[in-house]
Amino acid sequence: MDGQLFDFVVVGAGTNGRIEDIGSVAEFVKGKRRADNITAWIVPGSREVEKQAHEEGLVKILEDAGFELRQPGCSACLAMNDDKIPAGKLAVSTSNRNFEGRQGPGARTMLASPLTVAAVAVTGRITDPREVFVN
Amino acid sequence: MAYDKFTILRSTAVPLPTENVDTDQIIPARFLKATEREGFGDNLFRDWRYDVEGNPKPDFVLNDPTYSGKILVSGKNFGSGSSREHAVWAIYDYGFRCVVSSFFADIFKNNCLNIGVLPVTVSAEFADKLFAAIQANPATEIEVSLPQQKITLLSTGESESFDINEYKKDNMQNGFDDIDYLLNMSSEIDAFAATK
Repeated sequence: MDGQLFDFVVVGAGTNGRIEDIGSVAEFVKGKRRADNITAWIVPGSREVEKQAHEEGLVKILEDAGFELRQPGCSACLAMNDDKIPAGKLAVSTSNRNFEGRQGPGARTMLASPLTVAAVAVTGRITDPREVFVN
Repeated sequence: MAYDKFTILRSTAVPLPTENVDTDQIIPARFLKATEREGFGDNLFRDWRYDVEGNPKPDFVLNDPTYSGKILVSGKNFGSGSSREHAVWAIYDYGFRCVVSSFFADIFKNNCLNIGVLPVTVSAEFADKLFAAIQANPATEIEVSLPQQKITLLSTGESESFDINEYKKDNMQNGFDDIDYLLNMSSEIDAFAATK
């Protein structure tokens, strides 16, 4: 998997959608930019977390890094709303289930921690976050 | 919500020897938004059953007219994944009343017992016998007796007993979910409340 190119990164939804998770991703991508091949979604776990993420300036940091804020809730964890990974695309996601078609029919999912997902957002490929965020 | 009473079911069966069938395969999440229980059967095993244009995939067992019946015999670890009741609603709505496997995911199994689909856990050896018998002769009948807690392959007479919680067994024989069970005692509840 090392070096595998990805298409989507998903941070949040239910699992790993806490303010702390969004904060840790924001801290690591601050001043960086998502890779050109990556669509990056950030999904607060609730309206309350979304509000807090705005108030703490985390949304601004993430949007500056090329992330897109999506509606709080289930989102691409299980592809019930518009947040579906297209067929044939590869996503790395902080959610906790990677069953066939879970994030959209024909999509492929790799599960990872918020920081690994942040690293993939920046490099566009599977990356050890310790190699991206040294300091 | 009440469902058809379950006592003795004698039926042909549909074999699905796949292991680890998860709830996302049983009913994909994009079909969960309905607020009625009816209609989920149309999308049972949706992405295995139909291609993206909605055409039936001929090699999937539900599209094979050779097999039919009210019993689904599946591979080990059936129903893992999410806790969605819709997975059982889809199975019931399609017309299955019993699922047989050598292992069920726990939440799925308990959802079955509340919704009127009998989950029958058999040994891996007995499951293999069922698959072999059904595939050799799709007209093979299986009898599932809830009162006796016994499943029998009628072609050979081989049988195995299965476990079920006594309370759930009574409920299934009456067609009750947990709420129906309580409502059925409403006169006793009212009588008790009147003494307070």
